[in-house]
Amino acid sequence: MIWREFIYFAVISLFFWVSGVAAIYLSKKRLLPNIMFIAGVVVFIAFIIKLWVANGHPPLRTMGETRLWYSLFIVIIGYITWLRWSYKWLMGYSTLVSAVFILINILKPEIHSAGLMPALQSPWFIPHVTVYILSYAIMGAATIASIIFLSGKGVKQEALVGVADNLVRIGLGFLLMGMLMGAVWAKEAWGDYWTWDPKEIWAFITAATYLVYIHLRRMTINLKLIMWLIPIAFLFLMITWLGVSYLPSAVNSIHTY
Amino acid sequence: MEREGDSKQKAAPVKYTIILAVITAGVLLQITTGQFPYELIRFPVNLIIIMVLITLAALKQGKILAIAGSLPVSVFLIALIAIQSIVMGLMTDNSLKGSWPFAMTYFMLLINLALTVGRRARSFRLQDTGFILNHAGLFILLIASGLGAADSRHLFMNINEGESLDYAEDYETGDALVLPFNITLEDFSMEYYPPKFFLIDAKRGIMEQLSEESSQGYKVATDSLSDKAGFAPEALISVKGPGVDTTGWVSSGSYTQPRKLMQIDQFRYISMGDPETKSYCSRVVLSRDNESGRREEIRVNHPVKSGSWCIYQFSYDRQMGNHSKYSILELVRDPWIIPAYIGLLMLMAGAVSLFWKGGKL
Ligand code: HEM
Repeated sequence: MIWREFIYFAVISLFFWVSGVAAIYLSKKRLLPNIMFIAGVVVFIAFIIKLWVANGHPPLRTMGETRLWYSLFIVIIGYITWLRWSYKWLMGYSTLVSAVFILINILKPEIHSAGLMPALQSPWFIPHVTVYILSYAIMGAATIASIIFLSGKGVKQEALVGVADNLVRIGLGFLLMGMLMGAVWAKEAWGDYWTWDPKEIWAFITAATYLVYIHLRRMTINLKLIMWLIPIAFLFLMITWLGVSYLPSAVNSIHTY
Repeated sequence: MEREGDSKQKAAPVKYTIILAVITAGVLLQITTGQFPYELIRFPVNLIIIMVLITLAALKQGKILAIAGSLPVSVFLIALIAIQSIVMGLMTDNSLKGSWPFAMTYFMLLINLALTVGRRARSFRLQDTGFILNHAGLFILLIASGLGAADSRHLFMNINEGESLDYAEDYETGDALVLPFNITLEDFSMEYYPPKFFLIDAKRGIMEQLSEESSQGYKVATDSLSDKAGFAPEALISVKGPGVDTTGWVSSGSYTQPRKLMQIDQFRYISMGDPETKSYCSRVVLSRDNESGRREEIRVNHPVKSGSWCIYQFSYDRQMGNHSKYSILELVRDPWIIPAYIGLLMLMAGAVSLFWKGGKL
């Protein structure tokens, strides 16, 4: 059982990544965190290759294998975002999410056997969900910034708007990427890239609301009014997100495929 | 001076009033004529509309076009589309997508987007690349998925094992359409994941999934599985654990038979979970006049192409599952798929540029 060895690889990777996050916070130098993140990724990939060779096929079939890729991709995307934008918390967040997936794989091994239904067995599944998770985190941060701004308690109001603008644009990049990959996947699975099912409708409303924010910011309109759009869009994001697992119609749609 | 200020203040709401008037006209048309007549914009009408839009984009923008393509109009239209989508999201069906007001908003959005792209393209500088990728990409995708979708066909073929068919049905109109090829279904088959077992403790009112090592120390091993046509799946299992060492049959039940539990002591039972589908697939032979039959496997996520048609595994006899005697295939022809993918790719590149540029304009 290759999976029995997973804990060693996972602990080493996590050790590197957590030290990397610590190094980001403790020192201004970037060399050490860079080494730490890449070392962790290399160790993690080594396990995936081992599993791949042992399986004889890419490890993309079981839930456990799927979580393996999440754990990896979320750290890599968080790392790239940190390289570009220096958001320390985002690196910490993606390491945390990765750790949760790793822990599930270690503590609940029986879930390894739970399989994916046919429609989810697609190479688009993992990137599609991973970028959505990242977008969710970034939009969450933008929402916090907007709420501090709206409460009027922020010390530097102008800086807050700048942060919100930046986060919404980065988050929208991920959000659109998730939607577009979902569209390509849907075309492959069902023959249509867009069908206006409830999940798609709410994802569209969410993206449109962020678009309204981005475009309104270029007009001279009461800043407070515009800033309200961020929490409203986030509410739509939550409806899309929760709707995916809790709407009665979504339960049905899982069983029809 | 005062006058000019006045006219500016009045001019501002005029454009919104016009947009709302167009949408109101859409509402009236909806009430009097029903849904938007989608078949009216089939080729070549959609192509003519695209030509008009491209001409609009290329025109030098006077006062009216400049307003029609302005940012406030964009924002208003995107917001209107979002509001209509919220209404659609709260309804139980998505029929609003084919309504007159939605179509009207869509057309106005296309005009605004065409003018926006045209204006920026004429004064193009390198730093506008992200802007053009996003807006032209969205423009192309909106055209392909809206105007272009009028030319797409979705047909369904309900085919029995051993049967050969060369036609498929349009579920919306009820027409049957003859295809340029012939499909023979050799076999429909399904694969299931290994069944799951659950321990039910009636006294404590709990149910937990059993695995090789469950928290209560019970082990379940499947000795044999039975899946006969017309009968519910059954499993012969042996359960070992504190004070228990037995074998017996359990069944997940089906539409004809009740679920069968295995009792292991006074309060505890083992139950078998519903079968979970791993994959299903139609093995077919595709033949065209000029070529000999081509053997293909059609699975979910793995459509097969034949000429301009894509063939998808859609459904099967759900009551019979693995023993289904027929398969339902979906046949899709979308002549605008290439522009759609070009738009999608441009938008993906645009999304990367959004990430990369962030709030730095
Ligand atoms: C994927 C969707 C979209 C994204 C990511 C997006 C993004 C942007 C960005 C980033 C800008 C600022 C451009 C810059 O300063 O370089 C902008 C401006 C603008 N956008 Fe969009 N947009 C999208 C959709 C739309 C739509 C649907 C419309 C209209 C129907 C629209 C109309 C405009 C207009 C009019 C401007 C002002 C720029 C100008 O006047 O030249 N956008 N958009």
